[in-house]
Amino acid sequence: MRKAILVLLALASILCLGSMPAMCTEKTITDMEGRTVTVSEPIERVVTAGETKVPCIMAALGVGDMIVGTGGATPKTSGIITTTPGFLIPAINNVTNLGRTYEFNVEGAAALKPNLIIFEADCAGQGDSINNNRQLIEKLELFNKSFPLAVLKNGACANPPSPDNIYREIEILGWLFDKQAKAKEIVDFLKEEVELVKQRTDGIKEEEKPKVLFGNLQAWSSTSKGSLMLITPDYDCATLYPGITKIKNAYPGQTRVSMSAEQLLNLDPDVIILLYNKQEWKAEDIRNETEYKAIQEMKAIKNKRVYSTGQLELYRSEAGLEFPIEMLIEAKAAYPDRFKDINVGEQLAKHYKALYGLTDEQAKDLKKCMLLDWMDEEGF
Amino acid sequence: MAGCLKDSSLLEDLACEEGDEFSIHGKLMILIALFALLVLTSSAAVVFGAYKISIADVYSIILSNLLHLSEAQNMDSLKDIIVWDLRLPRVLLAITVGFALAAAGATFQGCFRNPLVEPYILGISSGAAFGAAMGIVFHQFFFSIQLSAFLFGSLAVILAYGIARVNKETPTITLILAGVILGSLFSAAVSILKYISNDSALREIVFWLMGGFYFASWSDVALVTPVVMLSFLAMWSLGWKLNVLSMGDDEARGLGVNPEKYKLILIGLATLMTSIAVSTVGIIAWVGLMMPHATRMILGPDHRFVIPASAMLGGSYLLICDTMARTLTSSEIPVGIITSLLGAPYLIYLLRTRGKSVFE
Repeated sequence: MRKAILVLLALASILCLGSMPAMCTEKTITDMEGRTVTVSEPIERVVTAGETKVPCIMAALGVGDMIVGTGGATPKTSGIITTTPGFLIPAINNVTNLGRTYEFNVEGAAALKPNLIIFEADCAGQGDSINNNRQLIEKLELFNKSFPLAVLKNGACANPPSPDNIYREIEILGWLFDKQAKAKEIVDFLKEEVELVKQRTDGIKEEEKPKVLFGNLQAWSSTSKGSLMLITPDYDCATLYPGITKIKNAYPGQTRVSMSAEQLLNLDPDVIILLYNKQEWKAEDIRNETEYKAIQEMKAIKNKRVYSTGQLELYRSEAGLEFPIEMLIEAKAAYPDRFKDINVGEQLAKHYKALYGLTDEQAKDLKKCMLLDWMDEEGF
Repeated sequence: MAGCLKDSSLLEDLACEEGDEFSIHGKLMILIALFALLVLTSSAAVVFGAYKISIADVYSIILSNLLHLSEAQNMDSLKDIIVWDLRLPRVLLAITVGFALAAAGATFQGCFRNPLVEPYILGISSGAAFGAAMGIVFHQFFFSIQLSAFLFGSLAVILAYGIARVNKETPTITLILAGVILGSLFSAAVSILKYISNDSALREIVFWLMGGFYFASWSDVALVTPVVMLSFLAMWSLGWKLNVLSMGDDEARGLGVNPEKYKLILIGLATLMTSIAVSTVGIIAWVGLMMPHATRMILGPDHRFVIPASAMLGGSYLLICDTMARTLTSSEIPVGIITSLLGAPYLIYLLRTRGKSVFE
């Protein structure tokens, strides 16, 4: 009997010792706010706050199913069929939507009993006024004893905006989820795509640069009350990386503005890049619809140089890690000769498959959801 | 009326009118009932939330923290933070702001003898919005958004008063018009700031303008509550003077009350409490307009009762609205949406059922 008890005790000790490292491991990181974050493993329940790329990065790392609550990764805007995170992680459409930025329900997040909250700050729009971010971080930090908070910052938070921030985000998440190798693979792939754009735009002189206008059609001209397009300046959403795309923004201002037909005619850009629009207008509409007759005399429209980044903007959480594709669309639109051997539609399919492991069919479907199927239709 | 005046001094019973449904005793009972409603709503509000915590635990946490018991340290820290750091300051701030807006609304309506007046009539909200927008857009030049909102909110009223003051008098109509003009000017200035601001600053301005208690903290409670409560007590103590003022300047002078002096004091106090509330939580509509109406329809026009009743009803109402804002959906709903959605039908109901004009 005594022997049996001793054997049982020995077995129990071995089992305990074996399981202890997994149960008790802690890791410490420094997040992008410079805060020290200690995380207990295993991480199984994650809440994402903020409205940018974290759910997509987690999907790419293969840990998307850990998300139990999210602030802004699922559709809120009417007219959006799905978001990239919603497409990649279908279950995310059913998890608790805690609200974007100031709407984020802190107590609701706590109620989900996460092991980790990841808040991704978005500084797009040249903004360094991030008071709301700070207040939300302060509230989330109250729970440090119960679950840690990791703060990440998207590309727009660097000055000037830089994809290096995104690479760092991926590395931190890879480290948190023990997916360092996969994270490196993702970063390398994205760097390669960005490098492709850099190489092709290298050495472009100022006088060679066409004037490119970035904006979204706000409404049909008959319903727009004179405000036809919302124009974005440099370092705002689709225009975050002019240093890489070497694009000269036709609009020299520093803040977003709504422009009338007359103001657009006055700018008369060489190229127009349409950003997100919930009515699913296509580039050809602006050329053919009588509603836009007032601006169809613009050089870009007459020369059929109107393109679109689909739904990659203006709401960053609705897109994913597709910033290199965005750069490619813009750079090819501005410098078609330099990119004539690159089919961006095909590159996007390759991107989706490499990063998220999608099949051809899924990649095609996601392209359609993101209103980027025009590239295949036009052989862009 | 005669009966009403019989046992009391003339000034104290100026508010008694034919048709007043309640005696002084009845009105006191209503005040006690409203206080009970406030206690009840706050007791319930602190229990509601996305995180399920038993009622016993909620009150145990509150008591432990209040009495600095060692139990507080042994409590589940997550629950302790949710109740003590998230819910309780928010509940207290909602009550305080509701108190401030409703009491200020009652005072402004009495001073201006106009039931359409609300606390923002003299441009406080537009001034505060301008101050907040300046603090957001030019943050490098401003110490804090809250301070900037408070200063510009108060400045708007001081300017309105200065513009309206002619020959040592401040005619009510001129003052209201000056407030409207300044409000319009500050609103235009806010539009300019929105126009020139970048995306993130624009989002912050829009967020501020919507108002809400999302980031309520103990430091907000500590800052706002004393100012509001002291101003409220001072206003309440002047309730009978407000009764005299609401009869008109000439009548007030005839009864030995200096209308200029007391209007300045009462408007100053109402401005102070509104400014500090608005600068902390942004612009929350309807409470300051509706609650004085509702209480006046129940209690009649006597400001000795209208001011505290409005304040308590405002506190309860805003607290109910905010509790709904944080619990109805998985994310937060801007509280202004709920104050309007709930408030308008209630006021329509009161108008239909007790639609006599209390200012006639």
